[in-house]
Amino acid sequence: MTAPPTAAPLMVVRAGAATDKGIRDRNEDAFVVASPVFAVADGMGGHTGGAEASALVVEELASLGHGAWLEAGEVLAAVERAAHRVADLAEGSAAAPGSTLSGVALAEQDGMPCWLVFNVGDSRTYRVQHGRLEQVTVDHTRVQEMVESGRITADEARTHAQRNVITRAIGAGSAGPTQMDWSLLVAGPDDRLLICSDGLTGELSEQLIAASLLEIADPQVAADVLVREAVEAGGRDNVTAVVVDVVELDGPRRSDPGHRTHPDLDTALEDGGDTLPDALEPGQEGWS
Amino acid sequence: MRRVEWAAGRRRALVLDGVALLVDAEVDRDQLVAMWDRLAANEVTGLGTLLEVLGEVTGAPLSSLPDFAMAVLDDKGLHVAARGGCRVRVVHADGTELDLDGAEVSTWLERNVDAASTAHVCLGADTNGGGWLPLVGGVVPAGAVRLLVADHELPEEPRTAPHPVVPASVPSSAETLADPDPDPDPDPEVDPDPDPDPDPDPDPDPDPEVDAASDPQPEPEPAAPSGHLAHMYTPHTVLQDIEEAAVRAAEEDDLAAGGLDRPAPVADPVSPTPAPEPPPVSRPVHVAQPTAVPAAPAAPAAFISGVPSAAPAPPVQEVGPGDDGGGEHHDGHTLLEAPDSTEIDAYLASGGASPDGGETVLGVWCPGGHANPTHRTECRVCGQRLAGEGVRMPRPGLGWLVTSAGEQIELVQDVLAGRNPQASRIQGPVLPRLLPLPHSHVSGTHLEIRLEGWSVMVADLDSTNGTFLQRPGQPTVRISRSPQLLTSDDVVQLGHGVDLRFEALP
Repeated sequence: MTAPPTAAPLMVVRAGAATDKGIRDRNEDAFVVASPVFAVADGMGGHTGGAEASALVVEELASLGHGAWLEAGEVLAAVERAAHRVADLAEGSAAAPGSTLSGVALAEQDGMPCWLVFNVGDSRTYRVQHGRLEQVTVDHTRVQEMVESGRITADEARTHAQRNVITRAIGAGSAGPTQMDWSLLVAGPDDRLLICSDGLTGELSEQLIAASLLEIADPQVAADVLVREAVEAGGRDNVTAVVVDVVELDGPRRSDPGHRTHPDLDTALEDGGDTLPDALEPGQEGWS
Repeated sequence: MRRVEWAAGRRRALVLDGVALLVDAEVDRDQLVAMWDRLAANEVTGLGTLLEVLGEVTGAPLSSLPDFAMAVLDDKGLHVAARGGCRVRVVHADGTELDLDGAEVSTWLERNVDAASTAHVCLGADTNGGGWLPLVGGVVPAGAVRLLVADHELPEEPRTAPHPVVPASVPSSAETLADPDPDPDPDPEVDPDPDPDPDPDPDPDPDPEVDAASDPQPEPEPAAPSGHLAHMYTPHTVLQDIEEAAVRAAEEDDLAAGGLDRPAPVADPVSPTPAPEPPPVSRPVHVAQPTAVPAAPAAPAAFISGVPSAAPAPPVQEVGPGDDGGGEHHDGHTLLEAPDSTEIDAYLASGGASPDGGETVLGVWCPGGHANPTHRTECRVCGQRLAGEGVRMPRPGLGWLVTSAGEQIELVQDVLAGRNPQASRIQGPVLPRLLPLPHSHVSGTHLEIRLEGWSVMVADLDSTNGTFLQRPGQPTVRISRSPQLLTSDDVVQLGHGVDLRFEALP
């Protein structure tokens, strides 16, 4: 029985997007910028199949592009519709087309504006908060699974021979329901999200991506610059970037006169994200 | 043959295996030594490691790193970057050049090039012909560094290095660096190269050259390069399911195990020896087979993996790299890569999720229609006597969580509480409730309240300041990462009066 917020939560974002085929013959990446949903899909499969698959995925997601908020079930339903259509592309072809998908939907939980981040495959979503770039999604790649099972180290993974082998995808012959990873993050007033295909992260260091995102205020310019730099750095794969900025945010302020300590929201959210260490132990003054 | 060479100057060069860095003298001795120590202790892959360490030792944010030129040679290729006044020139085997002028952008420029088609890389201004001396590793007062990457050709010039500076040890180079600069030069860019540049391409106007160089080179890049790196360059993403990947790993191991009579793989990543094995990933896209492992939305225990740093504990940790060449790794690998089947079995046995995604439990209805755990003899809501069979039912709310701020949350889903809580990598669309506790001593994602069956549990998520349980009549105890069962009237404390009180648990 949460006390209802005094006003409806509000989250206004502004987005920019760019894509480039790099030195490949065609661009199998696709993106969708249709608030409240933003996503990147990286297609795979012979001939035109990969491009068709990623186009189908973003088309289904774009159909969610109305209203203020989305729920995970709505996104999942769109992905399942896309998965069926992608599966239909496979008829008769040896290499069933498929697509990755990573992105974010604006979601509301108990009056709090949130980022609902979803991921299948090795496209990524990052968040810039307090001047730092943080990778929200975890790749569904073979090397990532090997890292998590303790078989190789993170360092070894970066150069592993099969880092382009993904273990989950939409289509590509995968059976059963699409296995998506979901993350939910409370949105911050200065948040910026980056959604990108592996063509971006394969060419630029995370430090350069972070520095560019911190330096360039306009989301469209930031997306343009990132894609251009990745293409110039090598462009060995298609490159796509979607940058989403919070413009206006209004959610419940969690302060309450009955609280025994002063909620220091501003301190907590502007200290760079580090928890202040606390030597206090139970039994000392300050503990109840 | 590969070689690194340096030429004296007013900048500082740090050279380690596969790594060369040139920075302005503003990066002082202590910082360079710290950087050396860090880089010597860690494997450097790509530019990221170098940039991270440079930022750490200088304490500079990414937006104001010192000027640098850097090159990293790893098995993904040759990576170069230039910031500010430091330039990088890559000379390809075919004689074409790529110039990076970091001053063109406010951040820095990065390029990834094919090492197999690269002749040499020069960081900093080219010096006159006589100044280059070999260097295995160290920190030296250099104006420029260059990597002779391949044996295609060496720049023609007198190689008059009678006393090669082989491993310039840190102490000696530190000594050199510790000397106060006799001539604090306001413009170190000009000084290291006082002589007329004998470079055959002394273009006074860099623009046309840069433009030409920044165009995609007509390299053989799209094609798989020769050499044992070829297998690294599968140009297209492929999908393999977990099982498939596991089998593949076994095959690789077999190859490795059977290859003892072959020359051991050399560390030199640019050695142009032909690949003895076929590229392992050039097979067509693999179809994910429906396997015995259900594509279930994972086990309950995996619903919240908490903070990203919390690596899921692998049940098979002991089978590490040491299993290479072992005899039974086919089965071993297959099991390894599969999701934890015991957890999935337990999850399915418990009834799994109801169609709407919510969990179900085994329970007893009281005459008043309240759901109860099977062990109760009277209803937890209305106190009526319970009788009858246990049936599977949607899980009811398991009571209430009341914050010290007065917020009441019914326990119908897992809860993640913290200063800035995140639910990460949830499998399936049922997401936990986020409970922000905006206090600076509370960690970002501090603790988890987990519902399993009829149980309510609390687990600390490696918080900085800890989570404590106060149960009436008992001493306060610290909660670890292991979930601790909660009962009614328990108070979970995060310090400084930030409490979570639990009421009306089953």
